[in-house]
Amino acid sequence: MNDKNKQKLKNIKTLSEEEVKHIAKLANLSLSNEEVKKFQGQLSETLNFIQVLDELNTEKAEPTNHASGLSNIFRQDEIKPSISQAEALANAPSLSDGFFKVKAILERNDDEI
Amino acid sequence: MKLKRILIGLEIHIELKTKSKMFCGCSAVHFEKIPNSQTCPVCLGLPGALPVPNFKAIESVILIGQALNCEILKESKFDRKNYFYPDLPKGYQISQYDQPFCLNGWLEYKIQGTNYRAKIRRVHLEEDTGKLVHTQVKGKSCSLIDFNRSGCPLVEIVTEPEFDSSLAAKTFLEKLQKIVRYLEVADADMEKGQMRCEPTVNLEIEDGGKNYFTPLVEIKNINSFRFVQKAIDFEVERQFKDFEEKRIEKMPGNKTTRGWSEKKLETGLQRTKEEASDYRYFPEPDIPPIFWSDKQITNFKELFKKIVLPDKLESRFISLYGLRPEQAEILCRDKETAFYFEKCVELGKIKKITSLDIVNKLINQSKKAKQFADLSPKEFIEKIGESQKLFSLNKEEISLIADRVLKENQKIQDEYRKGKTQVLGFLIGLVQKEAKGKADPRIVQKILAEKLA
Amino acid sequence: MTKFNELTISDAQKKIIKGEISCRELVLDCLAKIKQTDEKVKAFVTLNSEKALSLADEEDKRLAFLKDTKQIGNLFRDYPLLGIPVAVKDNFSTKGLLTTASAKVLENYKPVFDASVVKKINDAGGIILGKTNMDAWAHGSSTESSDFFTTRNPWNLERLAGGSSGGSAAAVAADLTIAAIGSETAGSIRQPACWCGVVGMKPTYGRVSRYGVIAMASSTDSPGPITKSVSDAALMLGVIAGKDEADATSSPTSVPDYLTCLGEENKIKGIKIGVAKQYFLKGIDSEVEKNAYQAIKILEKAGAQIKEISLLDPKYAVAVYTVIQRSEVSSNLGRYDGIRFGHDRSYFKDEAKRRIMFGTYSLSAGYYDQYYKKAQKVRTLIGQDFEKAFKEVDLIIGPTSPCPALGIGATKEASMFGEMQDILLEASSVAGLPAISLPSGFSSEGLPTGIQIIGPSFSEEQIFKTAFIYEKIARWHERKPKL
Repeated sequence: MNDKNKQKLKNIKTLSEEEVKHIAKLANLSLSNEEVKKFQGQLSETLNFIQVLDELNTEKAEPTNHASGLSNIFRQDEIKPSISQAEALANAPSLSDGFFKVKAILERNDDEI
Repeated sequence: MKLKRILIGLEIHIELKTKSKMFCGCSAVHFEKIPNSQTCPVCLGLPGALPVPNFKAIESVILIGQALNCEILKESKFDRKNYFYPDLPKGYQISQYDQPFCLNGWLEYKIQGTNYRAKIRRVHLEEDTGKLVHTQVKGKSCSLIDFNRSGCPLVEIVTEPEFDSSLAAKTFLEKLQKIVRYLEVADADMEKGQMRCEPTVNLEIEDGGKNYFTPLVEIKNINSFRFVQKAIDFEVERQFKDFEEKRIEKMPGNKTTRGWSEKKLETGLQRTKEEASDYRYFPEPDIPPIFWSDKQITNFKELFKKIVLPDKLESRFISLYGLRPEQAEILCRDKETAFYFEKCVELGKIKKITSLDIVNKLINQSKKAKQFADLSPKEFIEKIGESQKLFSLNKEEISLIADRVLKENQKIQDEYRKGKTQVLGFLIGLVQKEAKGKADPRIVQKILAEKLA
Repeated sequence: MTKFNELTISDAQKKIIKGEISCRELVLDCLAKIKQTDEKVKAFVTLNSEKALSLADEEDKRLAFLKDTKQIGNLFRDYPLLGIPVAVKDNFSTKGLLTTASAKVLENYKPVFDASVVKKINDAGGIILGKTNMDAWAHGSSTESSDFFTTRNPWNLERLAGGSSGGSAAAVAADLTIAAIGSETAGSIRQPACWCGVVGMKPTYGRVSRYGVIAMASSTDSPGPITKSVSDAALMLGVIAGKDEADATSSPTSVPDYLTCLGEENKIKGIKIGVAKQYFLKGIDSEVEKNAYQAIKILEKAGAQIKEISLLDPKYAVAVYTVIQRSEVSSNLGRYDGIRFGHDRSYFKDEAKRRIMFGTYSLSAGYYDQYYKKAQKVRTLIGQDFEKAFKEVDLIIGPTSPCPALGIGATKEASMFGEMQDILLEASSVAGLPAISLPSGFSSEGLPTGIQIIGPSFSEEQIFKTAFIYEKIARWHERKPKL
C-alpha cells in the first residue's frame, strides 16, 4: 500500500450508531432502528466524499457566507398590517381560544400549572 | 467546610421599545393583546417568509453597548441558533454568535457609598419567542402558544461571573434598568417581563485546605429585583448544603437550570442543559452582514453623546446645585423627575427660589403622592413662590422681633443658656406669633440661635 | 393547426393583440391538454382551473374595452404577461392555493400570502394555471423524490424529467402551459430544462426575490423562468426580477430591459466565450459532448471568439454544495413542527431526513470548522476561480447535464443522487452566478441534450443575447415531443 492510500484509509470516517441517534435527537427526528443503520452508512459515505475539500488550501480564504455581496440591509421601524388572528390560525391542526395548542410541556414550573 | 466565595454571572434580556418587531412590520407592543392577533408570515415562521432587520433596534442595542462602555464591533452579523421548542416558530432563533454588536464593557454601581465595577462580556440583539401558557383544556393538561411576542427585539447582556453577593447583582440590575430607561430604548419593567434576568450561580467552598467549585446553576422565571436577591440567596444556601451532602463539583456538562417559584420561595430543577447545548450556530443566510463605516460609528457616538445618563446627571446636580449625593440619587432615579427638577431650578432662578428649596419640596412630595406630576414646572415654582411669599419678613425685620421677644422673656433665655435647649422651640413660636406667621421658621431658628449663643 | 397551448408567450401575445384568440381560449387549451396528457406526464400537483378561467375572463373584458391594436399593445407594456397561463413550482407560496413543495408534511397547507414572484406574475396580468410537481422540498434532481408521484419526461415517459423543477420543465415541454416558474438551488432549473428540452434561466443570486419561496438552501436559492424560447425567458425574468423590500438578499441593481437587448444581434461579434475542459468530464455522454461542441461551433461561426480556459475541478463544488446546502436545509426545515401548519416531523421522507441529518452533523459542535466553515472557504476559492476566468472571457459555455434523461428509478438507493447529477451546475450556483440552459440537440434515442451559458453576476443580458442567437440558428426549440 502506498502512502497516499494509507493516508486515505486513515481518514475514513464512520459514524457510530450512538452518533446517528444523537444527531437525530438534535434534529428532532425519531428514527427507526433500520433508519439509524441506513443513515449510519449513508452519512459516512457522504462524509468521506466531502473530504476532497481537504485537498484545497484555504488558509488565505475568508468564508463566503453570502453570495449576494450585499451588506447593511435594514428596514425602518414602521408598523405594517399584521395578518388576522383567523389567518394566523387557519392552517393549525389544534387550537384553543385563539391559541395554538400542543401537548403539555413537561418543563413547566409549579406556579404555572 | 467554609463558603469561600459566591460567583454570580448575569444574563439579562430586555425588550426594546421599538414600534415594530425585529424582522417584520408587526407591532412590537404585545402586552395583554388578543392572542395571535399581531403576527405575520415572518414572525409566525411560515414557509418562505424572510427576515429584514429593524435599524432602530440595532441603533438601540448600540446605545446600550455604549452606555455599558463596550466596544462597537465594525463587522457584525446575525446567526441562527438552532433548537426546538414550541414557542420558537422557525426551529431557530435569529441571534448573534461570534460577532455581536458590542463587546467587552463595564458598568459601575454603588453599594453604601462604595463604587464597584461589573465587567460586561457582550451585548447582542436577538428575537423574542412566543409565549407559552400551561393550562388545562377539557380536563387535559396542555400548553397554549401566543406568537404576538414572537420576533420582538430583545437585547441580551451578559456579564462576567464576578458578582459576589445577591445584593451586588440586584444593585447592578437596578442600575442597568435605570440606564436603559434613560436611553429611552426600553421600559424594562420586570413584572411585565420586559426585563428578564437569569443569574448563573455557583460557589467556591474550602474544605480541608482545598478549594472546590459547585456545579453551575442557571435560575429562570424571576420577575422582580427582590426575587433576584431571594433566589440567589436561596441557591447559595442550597448549593452549600448540596455540596456538603453529595460533594459534586463543577464539570463540563453538569450545568443545570432551576426555576424560581414565587409561591414556595425556592428553586426547582427544570431540565439538564446538556440536551439542548448544541445550538449549531451558523451565519444567518437571509440577512447580509453588517459593516459599519467610520462615519456610521461616529454617528452612533454622536447620538450617544446627546443622551444624559444618570451618573452624569447626579454629579451635575451635586456640583452645580449643591445637592447632597442622596438627594441627587433620589431625583435621578428616573429621567422625568430629574429633568423636571432641572426645569424648576431654571424657572426658580428668576423668582429667587433656590435649588435646595426645590429639591426639598420635590423629594417630600414624591414621597407622599407624586403631586407635582400634575403640575407643570412653572406651576410648581409658583406654588413654592406662594408659600415663600407668606414669609414676607426679611432677616432684619425678624431680628428686631427676636430682640423684642428675648427682652420680654429673660427667664427663658437663662434656662436655655443653662442647657435647657428645648425651650428654643417655645421662643420660635413666640417670634412667629409676633411676626403673625410672616417669618420663615428656619430663619427664625437661625437668628435666635445666634442671639442666644 | 397549432393548438394555442403550444404557443410561446410572444406568439400568444401577438395573437391576443390581433384579436385572434381570447385569454379564455388560451387557458382552455392548456387545461384541455392537461386533461388529455397529464395523467401520463404528471407535471401538476394542484390545478387552479376555475380561478384561472375567471381571471382569463377578466382580462378578456379588459381587452374588450380597447378598440385598436395599438391600445392593446400599450396595455401589454404595463401588463407584460397579460392573459398568459403560467405554471408555478409548488414551493412558491400561493394565497389560498395548496402549496406543498411536493412534501407530505405540507399536503394540506394553504398559504395566507403570495410569494413575491407570484405577486409579480399576477400584477403583470399572468394567470397561475396550477402548481407543479418537484422533488419534495426541492431535494433532488429527478422529481422522483416527490412525496406524491414521479413526473415523467414528455420525450420518453419511461425517463425522468429531472428536477427539482421537473414538473415545471415537463409542463412546458409537453405544452401543458405557455410558460413556467421554477427555482434553482444548484441545477434545479437548468437540469430539468435540459432533460426536457426547454429553456431554463437561473438568474444571479438576489436578482429575483425569494420571499415566499419555501426555502431549501437560502444562500443559493434563485427563482427563475422555464420557457419554450430564450425570448420568453427574457420576458419572464424582466417581470419577476428586482429589489424586494421583503427579501434582504434581493439586489438593488436595476433591471435592464432583457427583451429589447435580444435584438442587438451584432453584439455577439467579438464576444469571448470560454470552454473549460473540466466541464467535459471523463465519462460524459458522447452525444451530449458532440452536441455541445457543435453548439460552440455555431456560436463561433456567428462571430464569437472561443477560448479554452481552465476552471477548478467541479468535484470541489459538489462537496461545497453538499455541505452548505444540507447545513442550511437542516435549519430551514426546523419550522416544520406541525404546530402552526402542516404535519409533524414524522412525515418527513428519506431524502429530507438524510439531508437534515447530515446538515445537523456538519453544523454540530466540534465539526463546524471542519465542514461548514471549510466549505464556505472553498466557496470563496470557487468564486475567485470564476472571477479569474471572467477576466479572460465574457461567458463560459459547457454541457448542462453530463447525460440525457435517465430512466425512472435511477435515484433509488443513491444517497447523493442530486448532488452528483448536478456536478456541472453547482460551482456557478454556489458562486451565485447567472446561467441559462437551452437545447443543444437530441440523442440518438430522441432525448434532448442541453448546453449552459454561464456569465458573471448580473450579466443576464449578455447571456440572453448569446443564447438567443444560438437558438435562432439551431432552432432545436421548435421540436415538440409526441404525446
